[in-house]
Amino acid sequence: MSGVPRRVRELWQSRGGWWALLAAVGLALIGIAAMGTLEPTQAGAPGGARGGSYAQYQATWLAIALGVMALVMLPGARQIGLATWPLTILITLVLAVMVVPGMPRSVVPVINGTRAWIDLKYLRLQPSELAKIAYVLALARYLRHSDSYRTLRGLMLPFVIMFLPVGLILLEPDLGTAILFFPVLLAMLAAAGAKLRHLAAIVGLAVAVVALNIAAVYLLPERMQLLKPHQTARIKATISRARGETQYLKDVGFQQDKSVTLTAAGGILGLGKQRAATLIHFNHLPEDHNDMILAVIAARWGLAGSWLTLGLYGVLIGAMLLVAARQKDPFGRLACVGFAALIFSQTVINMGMATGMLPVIGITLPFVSYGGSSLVAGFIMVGLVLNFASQRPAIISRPSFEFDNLERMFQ
Amino acid sequence: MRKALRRILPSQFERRLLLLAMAVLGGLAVLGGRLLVLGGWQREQALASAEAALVQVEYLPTMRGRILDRHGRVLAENSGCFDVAVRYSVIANTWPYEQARRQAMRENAGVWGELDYTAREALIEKYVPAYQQQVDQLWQILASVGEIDLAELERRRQTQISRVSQMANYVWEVRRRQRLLQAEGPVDLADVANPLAEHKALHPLLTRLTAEQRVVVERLLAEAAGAARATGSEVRQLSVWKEVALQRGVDRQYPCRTMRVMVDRSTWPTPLRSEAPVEREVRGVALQIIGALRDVQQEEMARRPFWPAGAKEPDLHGYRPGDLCGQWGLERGMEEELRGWRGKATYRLDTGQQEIQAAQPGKDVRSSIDVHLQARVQAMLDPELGLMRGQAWHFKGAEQGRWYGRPLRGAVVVLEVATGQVLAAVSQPAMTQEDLEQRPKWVWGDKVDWPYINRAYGRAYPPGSTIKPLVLAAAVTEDEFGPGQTVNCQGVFDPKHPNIWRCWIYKASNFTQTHGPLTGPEGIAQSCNVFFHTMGRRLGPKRLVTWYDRFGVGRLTALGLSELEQANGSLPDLRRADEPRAAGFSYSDAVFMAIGQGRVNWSPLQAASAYATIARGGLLIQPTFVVGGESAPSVDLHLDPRGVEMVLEGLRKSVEDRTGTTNHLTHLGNEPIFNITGVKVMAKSGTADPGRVWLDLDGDGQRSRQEIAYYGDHSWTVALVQRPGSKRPDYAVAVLVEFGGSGGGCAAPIANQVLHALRAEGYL
Repeated sequence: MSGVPRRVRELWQSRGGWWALLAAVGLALIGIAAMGTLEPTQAGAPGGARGGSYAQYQATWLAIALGVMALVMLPGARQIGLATWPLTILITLVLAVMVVPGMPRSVVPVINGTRAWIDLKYLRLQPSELAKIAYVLALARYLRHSDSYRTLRGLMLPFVIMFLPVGLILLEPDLGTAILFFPVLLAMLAAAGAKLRHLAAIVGLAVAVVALNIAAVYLLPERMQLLKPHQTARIKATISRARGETQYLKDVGFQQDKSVTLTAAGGILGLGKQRAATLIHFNHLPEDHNDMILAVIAARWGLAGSWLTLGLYGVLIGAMLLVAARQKDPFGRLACVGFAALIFSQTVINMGMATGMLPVIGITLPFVSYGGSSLVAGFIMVGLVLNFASQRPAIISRPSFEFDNLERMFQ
Repeated sequence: MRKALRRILPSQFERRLLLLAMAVLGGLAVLGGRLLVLGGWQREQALASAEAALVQVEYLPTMRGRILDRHGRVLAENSGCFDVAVRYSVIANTWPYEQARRQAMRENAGVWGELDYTAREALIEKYVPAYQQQVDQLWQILASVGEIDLAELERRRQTQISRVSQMANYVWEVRRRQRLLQAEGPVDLADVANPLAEHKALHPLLTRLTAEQRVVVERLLAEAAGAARATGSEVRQLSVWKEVALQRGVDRQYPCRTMRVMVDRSTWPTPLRSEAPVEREVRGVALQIIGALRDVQQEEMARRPFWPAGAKEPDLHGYRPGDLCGQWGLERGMEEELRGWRGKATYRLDTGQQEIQAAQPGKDVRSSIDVHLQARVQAMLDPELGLMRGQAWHFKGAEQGRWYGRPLRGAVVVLEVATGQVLAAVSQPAMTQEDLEQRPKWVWGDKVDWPYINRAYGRAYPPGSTIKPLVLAAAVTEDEFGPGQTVNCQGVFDPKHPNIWRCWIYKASNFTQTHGPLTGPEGIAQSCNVFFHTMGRRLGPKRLVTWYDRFGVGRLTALGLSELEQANGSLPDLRRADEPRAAGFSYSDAVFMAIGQGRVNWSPLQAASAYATIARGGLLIQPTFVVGGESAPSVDLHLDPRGVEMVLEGLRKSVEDRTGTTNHLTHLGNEPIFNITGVKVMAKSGTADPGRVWLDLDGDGQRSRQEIAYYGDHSWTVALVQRPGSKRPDYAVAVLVEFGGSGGGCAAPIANQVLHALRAEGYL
């Protein structure tokens, strides 16, 4: 019974973790404030069947997310570690069930051509958000005491494992979420001490694959494309826009063009609420509350707002890495690195597409974009980081992930 | 470096974290930099572009100006009308598929995402026939409402489809070229082929609805709208009517295209004379002069685009695809005046402010044509009535058989001397509206009839003797001839070469007749070739050509019509006058050109203008088809008044003296040619040998025997007429009949009738 107050005391001591929480809440508040710029939801919009504003819903979700976060802070790291595999298997099964042909549409609706949500009457869940967390935990669990990835062949196994959830998510299909798994795995392997030249080779290979795909977009005829038509079109649209051409701006490139334009229109200090709201409304920025929320932030608060957002991400990710550094428990260490990498990749891809540097791909801005599942998943990560940060080191612990000069470590 | 790092951070894990942290910092720095570039440097442009979305601009149509005749009668005007317009997707028949696809998606929303392409197509196919049936029914209904058959409706649909595709091809090609300039590699047409507004717009299929038709269409539309309000299967049955609308159309009306004229034949040459006037319906009155409209083409859009290259504001006077512009005639020549400026309506979406700049309608253009006179002259040129038909008194013996009874081709032009305004310019034969619609091949392709060319100003002919007054006036002005002087006509110009340069009279009665000594007026009146050969030699080639040029031969065109529709005539190039004979021109050219043969051609309009110039005492006023606006440019030729006097006296004698060439019709018992009373008529006939005319009928570039079509002379008469009390002649009339034989025999009686027509219209 004395466990709970002790947990609270322990949690209180995880200073890096609190910084992460502070930054995450700050980001969520920026998101809610930005949504306050926008129109109320239309009846029939996801999560908005009863009308009301995005900001209100998101604020409710923030409260729920903080509650869920408090829950995941309670169990000890050991319990979490033990629960990892069953959780991962469960979530993988859910993912698999979702893509089984013949699932009733009432349970797994098709939204924007994707079967990514489970409809639970009152709320829609996006299991792939949880799958990302489960995957990070599973990977951390797997890598924790291993050193097999120090060889090239051993390194391949995690990538093979990665293909199970990635494959299932690709079947939904949700390329945006699937693509995140790669940098996360890479970062965790790097932290775990895989040989850098192996990782460099894999990155090189990935870059080559991406380059080949883009080359194929321009060089191969339509029927021989590796990507789907809408994907090649988006790649073309981004490159075309960057070259100052206008041909895609009315269709494929519309969303990105509007986003970049409104982001730039905010200038240094922003346009203020009224003007920003007017411009966003009449420019018909699609997904303004969601994937393109950065444009709303930049339009309303300008560079000041977008840099503040960027800074909060810096604090959040930095704090997570700091927690990882102070940790002794290898599982917690790797999980923190994985979460940081996940948030960082999502941020870079989302902002990259919103500012016209990357083709449009459906990835939300973590903590900021509208969406309950995403917000809850984000705060679960923060909660887990806080949890890990509060763990007292085991009395006897072997230093983890030190492969190059072990002897010096024990001097 | 690496060692130092290991010393500071002994833990490999921490070093790896540092690496990751640096990667994170790098990533955030790139994003921050990008945001800085956008917010700091690209702000102005972006803000302008974002604010542009707050403003919606609509361009309001303008109204083309009217064309009036000189008395204010309307020759062309826009009138409102109602059209039935149909959405392009229905016209192009892509609508059934689109609708079927939407319905298929709607009704199979649950499984749609899982179906592959073929399964989807198969599903869509099931829904197509119902929509196709609706479209087919729509065509049936429209055809019956418009009282046309389905083939005609199909033709109109194809016309719209080809018009839109042509426009799209043009626009896409321009875009592709623009992109080619930016891009290094080839640009696929598919990359630039975004749908145009025309692909989404409604296009008229039935135009100029009558009131009854309009009522029927409105009832059909109301029924469909009512059905759409109700629920159930009916909605789908009539949904194609949502793509149909009644639209206000604009129709260019030409009220004077067909006119009825009473032709009074009581003063005609005896065999054609009749006391009973005959009523004629005249079609295509002044069609060549007034012109018509067509869709703009690349040439107009390149000349005056609605969006000039690089401009931020459109040129409201510029052309957009689908605009109309003048195709020929005054509609083309006065396009700039008639066209007008579009209006511009700007709506601020955020504040609801409106700013409406009204369209500026095109200006009315007042033509110098008197459409009643034009119709009257056209009526009397109808070959059925006889003036423009080969008659016995037109030709000498041998030619009679060939020409007798054949319809003749020719032209009449009437010019007001004081102003240079063209009152009438009639060509025979000429196209009518019906010809344009029903036999365009004849109109645009016939190389004998030239139905689209108005011979009065569109073709040039050798002047023959009609040019002689210009020569005399020039010779007197140049002091090469004077009052009291004579030239002795011995039948031939150069006795050493009796077979060339004969006087026309020398041929008659076995080469015995001569004119003897002639004064200037007598030379004109009797049209003595030897007299004018002599003048030609005295003036020499350079001065003769210079004087012709001053009178406008070879260059003068009328205002109001495009120069491309007018014949300049021809003259030897003055710049080559001093060159050796082979390249330039010689004294023998001058001797020949002085009687209007050889290297000189002019149009009837140029002839009338030259006579009017002499009548004004040497003031050349550029002829014009429009009244008002800037006054036509004028040049004083500084003619010697004695020369002018001599010419006018000669022209008068030509009509009044028994020896004059326009005095009487020899073959008809010496009946006078000009029988109008109470006015002073001065005239000069001309019988011009055009040589052998080759008509390349089969277009192969080779001359064949059948294509050497004509032997014979063009028949000319140019007349000046002076009202009592006027100080100088009031009107100039030029008549040309192609291969009409004798100038005095064929063209002069027509000129006489033109004077009667002027009187009938109150000018004399």
